[in-house]
Amino acid sequence: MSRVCVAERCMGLLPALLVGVLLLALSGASGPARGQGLSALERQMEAVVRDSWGDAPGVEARRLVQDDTQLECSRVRNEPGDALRERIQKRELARISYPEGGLVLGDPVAGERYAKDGYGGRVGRLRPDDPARPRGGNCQACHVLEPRDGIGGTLGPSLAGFGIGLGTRPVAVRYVYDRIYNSHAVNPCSEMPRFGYHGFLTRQQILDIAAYLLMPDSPVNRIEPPGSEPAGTVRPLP
Amino acid sequence: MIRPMLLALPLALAVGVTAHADHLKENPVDVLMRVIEEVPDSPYLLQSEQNLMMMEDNPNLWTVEDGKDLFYAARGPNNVSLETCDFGKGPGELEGAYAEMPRYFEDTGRVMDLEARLVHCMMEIQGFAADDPAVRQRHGSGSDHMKLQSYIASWSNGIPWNPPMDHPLERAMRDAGEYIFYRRAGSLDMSCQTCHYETGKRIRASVLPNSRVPQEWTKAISWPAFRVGHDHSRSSQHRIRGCYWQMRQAGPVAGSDGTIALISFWTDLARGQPAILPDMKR
Ligand code: HEC
Ligand code: HEC
Repeated sequence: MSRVCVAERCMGLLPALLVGVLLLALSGASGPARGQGLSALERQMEAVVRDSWGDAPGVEARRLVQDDTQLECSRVRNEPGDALRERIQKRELARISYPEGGLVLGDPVAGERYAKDGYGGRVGRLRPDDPARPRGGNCQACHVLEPRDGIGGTLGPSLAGFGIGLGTRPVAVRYVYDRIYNSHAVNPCSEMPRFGYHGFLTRQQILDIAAYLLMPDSPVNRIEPPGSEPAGTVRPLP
Repeated sequence: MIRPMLLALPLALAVGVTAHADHLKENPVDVLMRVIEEVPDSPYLLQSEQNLMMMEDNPNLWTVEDGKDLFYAARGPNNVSLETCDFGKGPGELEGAYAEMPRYFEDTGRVMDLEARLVHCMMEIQGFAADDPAVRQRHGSGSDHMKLQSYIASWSNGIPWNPPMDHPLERAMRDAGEYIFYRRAGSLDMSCQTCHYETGKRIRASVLPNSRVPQEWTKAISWPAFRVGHDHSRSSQHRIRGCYWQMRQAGPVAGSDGTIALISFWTDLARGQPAILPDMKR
């Protein structure tokens, strides 16, 4: 087939795969395949993916496989209609696991660290994770976390002043726990990672972060001196 | 604040670039300015005034010059230059060739991006072995690959991206790239859409280009570019690895069809917008 080795290895098989994609595309064969729930075209695309990431060792290769929610959200480009939204939400709610002792806010200082630290989840030969070091949620990559936070990202809404108005009521703690553990249970096809579901953060870490977000004396909710800009929006419970 | 400075820029820049690379008909900064005029409020395009000022002295211009020497030098076991290599517009025809890649090549039966095509020619024409450092070493300003890619790509400066979609495999690759672009996976549930679907969003301090705004996207995909943060020139393939790293997913095999498919799709998204080559990035 291909006489060329373009990478660390030769890929003689690939043109055949793509010819397969092409034939399917031309024949319009896209009905759902029995068993896996993938259309014939999707299965060809997945073959290209598998082959292009082919040399990934065990853990990495497993991470490549999509779960049901990743697949469904990819298909609709994160805009699920009402029916799909309902189905995903129900399924993801059932996937949340709660601590034995109930939802008790943890240590806000540790929580701050986990919210700002982006450590962990690395793959590849470059810099694998140190198992002794706890992972961080890297919340700050996507969220402004505090009224004085000048480096937070904007993919998600600002969380400055998040706890003002919410307080530490059980319903607030539950909302924050669910949101971090499994954001799709709150907003199906959310862009926010499911930190608990994937085991990326432990349940205790999530309770620590919840404390950081909700406790009134946390820097998240620090009331600014009079005359300065309002810290954040006072939000009603969803 | 930034705009008055920008408008004054082209005047101040009349000399420099052409002193380096005399085949560049237009100053890459001017190409970028044309694009900015169409979307004057783009946070991504305007994020670094300093980079814009520095583009005149883009270190990649030296890499382009080195690449020119390499391209015409007789090298490899066969002791020949790359002048007979066909990048899609005929042997040795470089003008506008990169702006029309990836494309289908009959002699290999594959859709190839610039890097794959270059590897092909280095091996088939010059006789380099696959494990020769000239072929193997893909990254870093000092590598033959960065030099040659930078030189070849610079011949498409200012030319609108126009990847061909005539051959069915070219369309199949573009579609596979679209599929991969939107494919969420991994323990952070991310796809390229997560970070490149809205204008002006930031991951921490980095302003993200929006794949749906061709003017932002043409700069985003204009590689090779000098990456100030890395102090090296980088390629499209290197950018793909970097973004998979950010998503905490395994990186694809360099040069695999998956990566070329992504490049086919991302080039299609910038269709019609001028390539900015060489570019300079954060
Ligand atoms: C990849 C980006 C991303 C990361 C990382 C991320 N989030 Fe989010 N988050 C979002 C987005 C986007 C939304 C809003 C859209 C939605 O509902 O999903 C959101 C919403 C939220 C909300 C709800 C806000 C409200 O007004 O109700 C909370 C609370 C939150 N995130 C907390 C966190 C915490 C804590 C972390 C770290 C453990 C985190 N996020 C990490 C993207 C992210
Ligand atoms: C977690 C967020 C994230 C995801 C997901 C992501 N990227 Fe990026 N991407 C970035 C950041 C950050 C930059 C650098 C932007 C900057 O420095 O201004 C970037 C840069 C780029 C650029 C070049 C623009 C530049 O200025 O450097 C391209 C092209 C690109 N990404 C493509 C992709 C593709 C294709 C995917 C999916 C395979 C992807 N990205 C997924 C965060 C992301």
